[in-house]
Amino acid sequence: MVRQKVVIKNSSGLHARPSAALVKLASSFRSNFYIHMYGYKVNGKSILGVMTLAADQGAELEFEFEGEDEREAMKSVVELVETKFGMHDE
Amino acid sequence: MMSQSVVFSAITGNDGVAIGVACVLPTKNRAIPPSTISKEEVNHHVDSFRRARSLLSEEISDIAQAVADTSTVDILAAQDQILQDPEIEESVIAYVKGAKYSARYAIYLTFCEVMERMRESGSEMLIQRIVDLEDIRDRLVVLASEEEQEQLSVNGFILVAREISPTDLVTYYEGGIKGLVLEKGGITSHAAIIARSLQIPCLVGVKGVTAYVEQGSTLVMDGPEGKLIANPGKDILREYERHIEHRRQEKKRRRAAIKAPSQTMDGVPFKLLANLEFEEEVGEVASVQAEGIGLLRTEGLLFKGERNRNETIQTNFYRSILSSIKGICVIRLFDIGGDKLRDKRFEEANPFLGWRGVRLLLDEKELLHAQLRAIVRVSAEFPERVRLLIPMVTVPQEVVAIKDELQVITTELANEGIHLKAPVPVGVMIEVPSVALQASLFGKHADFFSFGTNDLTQYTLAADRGNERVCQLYQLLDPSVFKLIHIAIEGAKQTQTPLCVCGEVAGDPIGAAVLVGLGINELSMVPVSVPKVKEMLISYSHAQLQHLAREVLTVATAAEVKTLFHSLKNTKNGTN
Repeated sequence: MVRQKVVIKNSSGLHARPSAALVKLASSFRSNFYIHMYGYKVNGKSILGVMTLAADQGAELEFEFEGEDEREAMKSVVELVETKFGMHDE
Repeated sequence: MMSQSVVFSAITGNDGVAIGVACVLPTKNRAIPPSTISKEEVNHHVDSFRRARSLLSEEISDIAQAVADTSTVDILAAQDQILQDPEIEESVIAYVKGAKYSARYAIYLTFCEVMERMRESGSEMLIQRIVDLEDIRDRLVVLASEEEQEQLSVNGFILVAREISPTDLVTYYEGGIKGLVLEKGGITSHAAIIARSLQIPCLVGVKGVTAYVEQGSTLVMDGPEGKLIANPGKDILREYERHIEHRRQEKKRRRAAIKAPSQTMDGVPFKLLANLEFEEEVGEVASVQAEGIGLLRTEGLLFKGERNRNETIQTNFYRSILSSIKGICVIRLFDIGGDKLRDKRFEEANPFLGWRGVRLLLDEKELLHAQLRAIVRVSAEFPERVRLLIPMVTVPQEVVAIKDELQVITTELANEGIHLKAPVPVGVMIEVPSVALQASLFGKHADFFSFGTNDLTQYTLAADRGNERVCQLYQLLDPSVFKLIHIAIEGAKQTQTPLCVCGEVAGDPIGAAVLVGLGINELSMVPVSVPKVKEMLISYSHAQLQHLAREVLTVATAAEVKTLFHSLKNTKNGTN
């Protein structure tokens, strides 16, 4: 199991499109994926779960991957968040 | 929900009595009542959920491929992601396996819970997504219910629905349904017409039926009385069983009339033909000894999708019908409105006064040409047996335009080596009052006339036959329509153009009696009506029917027409 803290950087937060991108990427890995935020834990492969977090800009999350490709998965997903989901900030 | 006996009043779409188990089709946006299943059904319901999910996912990606706009594609992608959400799957399966809920209820409950959580969150972004979830929920529930029922099989069931498309009805018919009960519609709604043609008992305009009748409850359909009984008591059930046996005997007796020559008691011949839409009915045409097909509806080809507009598929369809029947076959050109051809966006405020029939065909040349080519091809194969009928004619120029197109196609096919022995006779449908009033002007261009009395009645009385609020104004036997027919007959005499009636009224014994009395000697009707119409016509003299027709032209209501007929019947019985 690997865990890593991340901060949401894009101005609109984890809204519809970034959530979709995050879930899509995470679902391409076999490992289980959970997101912890302020004591909540949601399934990171569930679009409804991720959306209900309603994480704004500056929110601190902790990612947890568990499974055979956990390191690779963590690296890719963190990179997605760091690069602001490949979106130009609107 | 309900187990006591309840009687609903209904409009009889197709006469008949049936006893069976209700199969209620789900309606969108309806609260799904809790329903549980047995341990043995768990796997089937898990599969139903999964199949429904992949069907909906396919549907979404089909739409996504058809649209170009990226924000729509994004929305669709988000919908698909919600659909594939592992939390949803986990919850649905837990409800099916744990609580033994049916797939449709487990789906309904799961989505409702998620929506509730989103509503409570107070987040604007989440609240906006609730609509999406609701939409996915309803579509998934409908699909899952269909999947559940497929396993159940509809064989022997009485289908209960709000309304039904012609394609779905044919599919359920092939699945073996025993009867059809619809919440909406009137006697001449499409579903009722098809039910008559497929010979399944049908009740329409049964208000509240989908909300009250429980899946799997026993139903009695009473066509002659126009009622539906849910959960009948034992005595009532037994009474209906006897009744069904009685009708079976009666039907057998009628079949005997089939063999008699088609002429009135004083030897005036008449011709009874069959209306047909589906290949499945062709066997019935021969068994009632109809002398041909007076109306072949071709719209079924279009309901079945794009591919069936293709010339080869049409040719095969016409060929298969012509080779299984004797006599002539009158092929009516596609009689549809714009919404059937394109999609819902082509819906008009007044479709029955809009772009339909020949009006549409003359604008849609590709569709028209494929059909004309198929018709000319089969005419070459079956000389002198194929006729063409133009629907929704309003002015003579439309007839001239179709004949010009037909000429071009005939020459085109002759160049391809397909030669006609004689030109295809072209008939004009009289369904718009303008044609009935000016028949002699149309007779110059037409080889024959065919009365489409369903539309003629609707246009004369300005009442939508499918609208249950006004359909009581729409009376099959309204004397005003007979008067229009009488005027058209007089007009057609001037050009000696032959006439036929292919509307519902021809299949009604009273209607048929009046029509023959007015001077029509070719009637086309659903195959099942042929024996009863023949049994009636051969038991009167032509003079009696003429007398009846003359009197019909003097009265004001359909009820009076019926009274006139019954008094004729009584005199006959009195003198015999």
